[in-house]
Amino acid sequence: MSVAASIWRHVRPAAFTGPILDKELRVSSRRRRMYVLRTAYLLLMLLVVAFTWMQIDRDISRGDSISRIEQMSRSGMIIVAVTAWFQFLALQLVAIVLMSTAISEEIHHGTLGTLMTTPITGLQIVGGKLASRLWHLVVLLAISLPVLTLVRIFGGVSWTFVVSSTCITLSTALFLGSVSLYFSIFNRRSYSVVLKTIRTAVVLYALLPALLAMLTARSGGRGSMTILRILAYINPYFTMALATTDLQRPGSNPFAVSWQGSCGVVLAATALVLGVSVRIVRKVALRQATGEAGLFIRRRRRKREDLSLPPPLPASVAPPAGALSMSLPAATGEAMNAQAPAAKPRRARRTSKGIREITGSPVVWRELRQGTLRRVGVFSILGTCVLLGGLITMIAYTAWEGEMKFSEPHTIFVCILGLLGLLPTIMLAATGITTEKESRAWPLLLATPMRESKILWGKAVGIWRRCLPAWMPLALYVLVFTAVGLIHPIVPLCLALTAAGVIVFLTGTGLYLGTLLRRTTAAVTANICVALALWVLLPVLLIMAQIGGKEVSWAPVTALITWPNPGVQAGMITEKGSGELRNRHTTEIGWPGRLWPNPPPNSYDRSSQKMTLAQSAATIFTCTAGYTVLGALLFWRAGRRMRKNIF
Amino acid sequence: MIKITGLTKTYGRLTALESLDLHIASGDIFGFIGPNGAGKTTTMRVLATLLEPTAGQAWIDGLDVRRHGREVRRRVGYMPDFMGVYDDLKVFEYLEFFAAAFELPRGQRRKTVSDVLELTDLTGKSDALVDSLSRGMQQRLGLARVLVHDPKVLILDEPASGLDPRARIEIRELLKELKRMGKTIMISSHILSELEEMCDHVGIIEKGRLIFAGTMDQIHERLGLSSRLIVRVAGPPEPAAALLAGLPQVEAAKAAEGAIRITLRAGQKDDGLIARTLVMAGIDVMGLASERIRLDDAFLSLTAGAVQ
Repeated sequence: MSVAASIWRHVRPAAFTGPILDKELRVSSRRRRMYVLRTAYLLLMLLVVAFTWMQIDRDISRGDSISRIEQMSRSGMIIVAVTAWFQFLALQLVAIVLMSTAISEEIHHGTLGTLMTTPITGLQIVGGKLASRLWHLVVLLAISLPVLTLVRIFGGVSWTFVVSSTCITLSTALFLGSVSLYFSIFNRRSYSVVLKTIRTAVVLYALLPALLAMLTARSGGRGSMTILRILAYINPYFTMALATTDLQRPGSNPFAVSWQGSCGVVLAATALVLGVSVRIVRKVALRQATGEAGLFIRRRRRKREDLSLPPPLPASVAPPAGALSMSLPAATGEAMNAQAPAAKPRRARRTSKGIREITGSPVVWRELRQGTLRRVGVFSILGTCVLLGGLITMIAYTAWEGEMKFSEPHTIFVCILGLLGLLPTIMLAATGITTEKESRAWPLLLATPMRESKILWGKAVGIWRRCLPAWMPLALYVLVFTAVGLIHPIVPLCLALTAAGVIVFLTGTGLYLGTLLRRTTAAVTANICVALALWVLLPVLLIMAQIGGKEVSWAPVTALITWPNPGVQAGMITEKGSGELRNRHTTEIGWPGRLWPNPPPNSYDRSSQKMTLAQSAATIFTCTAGYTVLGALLFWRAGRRMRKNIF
Repeated sequence: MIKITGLTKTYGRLTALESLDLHIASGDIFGFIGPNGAGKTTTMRVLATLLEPTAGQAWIDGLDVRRHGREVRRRVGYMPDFMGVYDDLKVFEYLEFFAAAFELPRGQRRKTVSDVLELTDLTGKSDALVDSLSRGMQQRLGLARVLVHDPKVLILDEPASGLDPRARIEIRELLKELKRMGKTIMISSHILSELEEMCDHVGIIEKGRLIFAGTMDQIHERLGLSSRLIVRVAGPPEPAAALLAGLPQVEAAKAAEGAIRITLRAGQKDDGLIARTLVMAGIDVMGLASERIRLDDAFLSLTAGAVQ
């Protein structure tokens, strides 16, 4: 073999992906969900572009021809910027979800160990998985390119922005995808991978910059330019924002930061994460091949078992080898039903320390038996601590600066903490039934005479129990600041009502989707989509339509959709009921009314659309009741559907 | 105890079961055999109320599985061909959980679970986590689970798969004991020799159709295998084989492994004819037996190996 051929053998693309890429592409082409994903992405992008167009079309049709041309060029910029930001955000989410099953599905199917018995290297596994999913990302990105290119006809859109935004989007999606792939090595459940990756992204892209900004402000602005420049390199959101500013006002980038440099930094970070993944995947695979499916879980479990297993029985007590025939009479139907006199079960007594007696509904018992933190890994706890630590630091710093007398920080913190509670709730709600299906215990449960409602109730209780800790930071925050008098006592009550309604509703959707779908990943993704569509996409589109609508008044519909939005409710309740100066606000809001506690307290001022306390509380209560009723309806539907699609 | 009439189950265009008729008497062990994808598991799932049939009816203990699902579930212990485990429960808790799910009174559960654990020889594992058990142990646990509510009918889908020979023998003995206790057992397995030994009746299903149901003797009759004989003679068997082959009642007679294998023509039941002929020819007969067909052979003869 010539030297060139030898070198080519080691550097050709197939050396980095092996047969994995080929297999992955074949398999994904047979999966309907990939086509659904592309169609949904395209439709969503078209919707966003259409609504943006509706808004700017109104401006273009005004004025003389010169101003129209000017407007068209500005419109082109807006459309391109909106499209670029849409794909920037959407592709990150898609990358996280796509990569979340990359390695975990091999572990789940028990094929990772088998793969490692072949000459395939860790690099090829990671490379193949990454390349196959990267291909889908590129396809999605390519979908939007014609729009970006065509809009250039309007003028005012530089090629540089199209190229830079595409590169920033791709590198960011690649980085988050790599993080997701890394987490998928340790987690069998993809929703857990998604949650951890989002948490990492929040820490890196939101918490860290916020802390840096606080540090800069604390130092009286010294070194702020350096920090912002660093941020521009390590934070793609910042880079994207700079690129967008540069599109609208060329040469206005004050940090002299090149997007190429930023992409280079993100790609270097990606390479680092992938390098660690390549090293670790082999260890995990070898453990799996030798009968241990995870790096840490098995170890912990074994330790637990070692602690809980009773000592070997003495020969005089141990049942003989032929215990079968000896013990058979005890199991005759009558004997099994009869109440045995005195003699408590020997084993039960000996092992009663580790075994808990079932009381009440067995499903509720089992769901409550699962410790909240029992299955959480060290890195998960660490990640949560970092996130909460960062938030606590920010809250403490804001309080230190005396900003807590204003309502804005409270509103922001309540919304962030609410989101931290909402996200796990959306995910956990969808896992109740599908995890049972995946562990194949679902048919066993359905083969018992337990009523559907009883099983579902147990599942709902389990979901509430598991998502409760996620709401604790919000509860603590509100209660602490209520205690010190910076939040009005009615706010915790209103927030609790809002949260309760949303939790019940999401439990209903999660359980219903669990009966429809077989895989946890699918159910979690579907529940996320429901929440996103209902509370993000629909309100945004309706608001855009309301702004852009010329003949049709969308206001009542927008109000109907926006008011029950938990984010809006939480934000408005906190905004109006927090801070020392909470009664000063007079800002008009376009929805059916303004919240308490704006005076006058006992009247409804139609001219300024103010609401009394009773009306506000009634509105919130109505929304909660609506969510509860919807949740109950879905609960009922889940009960009806439960015995379908079992296997 | 189990009655099925015209049971049909379709999945889109695929017909998994086609007008299945079956009757299993109380206290019987019914072996259900067929190639992979023949419809055994589908039938069992319908009986366990986990699948809605497309057409037809099934009764267990006189109760329609469609209309009286809950009551049927109380009477049936269903063990699927896979082991569903809760990865965070211990063996004792797992069984107690199902005891509670089958609505056993609280005071009775622990005693029952202990009994069932002893019965299935799992007492030593009661404190182990369910998913840490070996495959064989999990199968035993599955069997323990179906016994926990003392059902009248046991529907066992390949309960011996993955078990070592000793465990298989133990399960076979256990099933015989359960039969003595009056349980009706419907069992599917690919280890036909085991079914042959313990089953009163056998059903052979292929492509969703029941192609045979009856006792082992009825299989013999159906295949005309009662007319197969094995004769051992003193001295070399070849001359005797040649003599018998010349008889008009004998279809074939071959010497093999020191014996003569004889196939009589259809309708011939005169076993004495062979002995008489040999004795009259001065050949000492050392032994004469009718060859018993094995279930494996019957299965191969009756099925074409086709799957859905």
